[in-house]
Amino acid sequence: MDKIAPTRAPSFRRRLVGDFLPPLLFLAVALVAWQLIAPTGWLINPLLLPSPGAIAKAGWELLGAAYLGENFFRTVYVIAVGFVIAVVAGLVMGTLMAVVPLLRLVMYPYIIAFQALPKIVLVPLFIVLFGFGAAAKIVTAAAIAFFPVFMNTMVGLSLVDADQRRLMESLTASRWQVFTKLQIPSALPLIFAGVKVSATYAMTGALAAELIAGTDIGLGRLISTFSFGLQMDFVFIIVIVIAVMAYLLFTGMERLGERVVFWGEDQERGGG
Amino acid sequence: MAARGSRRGLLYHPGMRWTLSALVFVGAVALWHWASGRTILGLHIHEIILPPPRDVAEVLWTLVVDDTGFLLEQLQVTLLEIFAGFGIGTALGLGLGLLLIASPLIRKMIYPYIVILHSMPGVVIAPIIIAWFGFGIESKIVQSTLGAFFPVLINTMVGLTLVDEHGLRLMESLTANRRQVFLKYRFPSALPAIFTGIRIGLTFAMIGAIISEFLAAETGLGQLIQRYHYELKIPEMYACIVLISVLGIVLFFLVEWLDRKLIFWRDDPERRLWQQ
Repeated sequence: MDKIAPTRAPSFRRRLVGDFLPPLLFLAVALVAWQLIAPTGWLINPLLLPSPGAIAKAGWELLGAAYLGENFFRTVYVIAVGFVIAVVAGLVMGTLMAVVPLLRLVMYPYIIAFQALPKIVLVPLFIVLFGFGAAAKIVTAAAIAFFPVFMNTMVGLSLVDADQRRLMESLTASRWQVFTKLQIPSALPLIFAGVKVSATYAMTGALAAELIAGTDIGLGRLISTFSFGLQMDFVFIIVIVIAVMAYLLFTGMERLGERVVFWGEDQERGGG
Repeated sequence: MAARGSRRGLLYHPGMRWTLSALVFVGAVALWHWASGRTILGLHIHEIILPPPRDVAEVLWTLVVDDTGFLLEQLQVTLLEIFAGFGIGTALGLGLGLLLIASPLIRKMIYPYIVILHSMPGVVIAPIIIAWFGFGIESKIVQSTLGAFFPVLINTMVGLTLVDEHGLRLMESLTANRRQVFLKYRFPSALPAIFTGIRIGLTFAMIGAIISEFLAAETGLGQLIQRYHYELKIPEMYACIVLISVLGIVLFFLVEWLDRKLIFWRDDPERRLWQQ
């Protein structure tokens, strides 16, 4: 797999994040400046861009609100279920396409079209088909998260090193042995890279669907409601909660990847 | 797939392959037609939520042939949003990427926040952007700018950082100065990564524009989908989803084609998957 341009992003990233001081200093200065400018009304309309103090106050208020828990856990639930469906479907379909080349060639136009399609346009369709509840959001999360796992499974299992394959075959390895001893181990790093991207995509899908539907419960729904009421301090605090969630998910998957597929290089592949 | 050469027969003939592909499409449409308005496994699929394919095709025909002017007007707005945002986002991402590579101090200060913002689903700030920039085209351009910005920025930085050390050392031992090393070696070798970022950026710019149109807009294809949805003109909604999907696929292949022309030396093993 060394023909795919290796990206050693994690170590690069870690080196930069490792230096905590400059970023914290930058944040502190920015927050203080923002808080000082805010009451003067200069440059910033407090209605549209609340001060850090106002956002913190909204956060405190939200912590005491009974509805925060159910909205938060609903979104986590939608992301988790959508993600699991996407990973299982992606692994199964990807393996199928890798093992049966004819199927892959026949499905080629549809795979490529689905890759090219901005899946977000399907949200209104899913709402019509699956209603305003959790189902439409789960389907959206799964549809968006499906592709990275699917594609990377297919690519990883199909494009194994030709020399290694020939060596195994000349040593009279069976197809099953080639599959379990060569194809799976060499595909796993790529598959896990796909799973990692899928986790982030599942989150995007869940929140986008909640936001667009603007009904039922969930963090996306809360943003939608608060922004209609122009309660921007609440909108900001929820966006911050989501940013923290996304960051934890992203770094968590990265750490997990280093442990699970420690022998592979990090590779990422897109297709929104 | 050389090892399986012996198993190749009539089934792997190119004509056969495309015939089967076409059959899959026909089968899918037939299934759709069959399922519409039918009760399957105790679940009634009402014609309102899944109109038969013929209704959608009729509406699509009307929209494209009879209401061409109206459709083009919507299409024009959406395309403007996507391309304006894509252009601005790419320029900003490239510019900031170069700046952050040039200045380690600024990089240390803001890189963690870039990682956080990049991993965050950009769609959630769409309501903020709409509150700031209004229901018009401006908020859509800003949203699609944000979509294109991060992939281009991250890939520019990664591409410029991960250059082959041997080449750098060779250039230096041949007494190349910093400017020459950058222009003749680092930047060209970062180009495939940067263009990958640009490719992803276009997709994200499009998603940004569509999301923002879904949430609140005056014109555009995405807004049209939402309007038909609210008016319960479901066949019309399906037709617009088909149109916007086609637009997405066309744009995707446009960039893919550009990529092959501009970054002609890229070795993409995925392309081997689709060869016989």
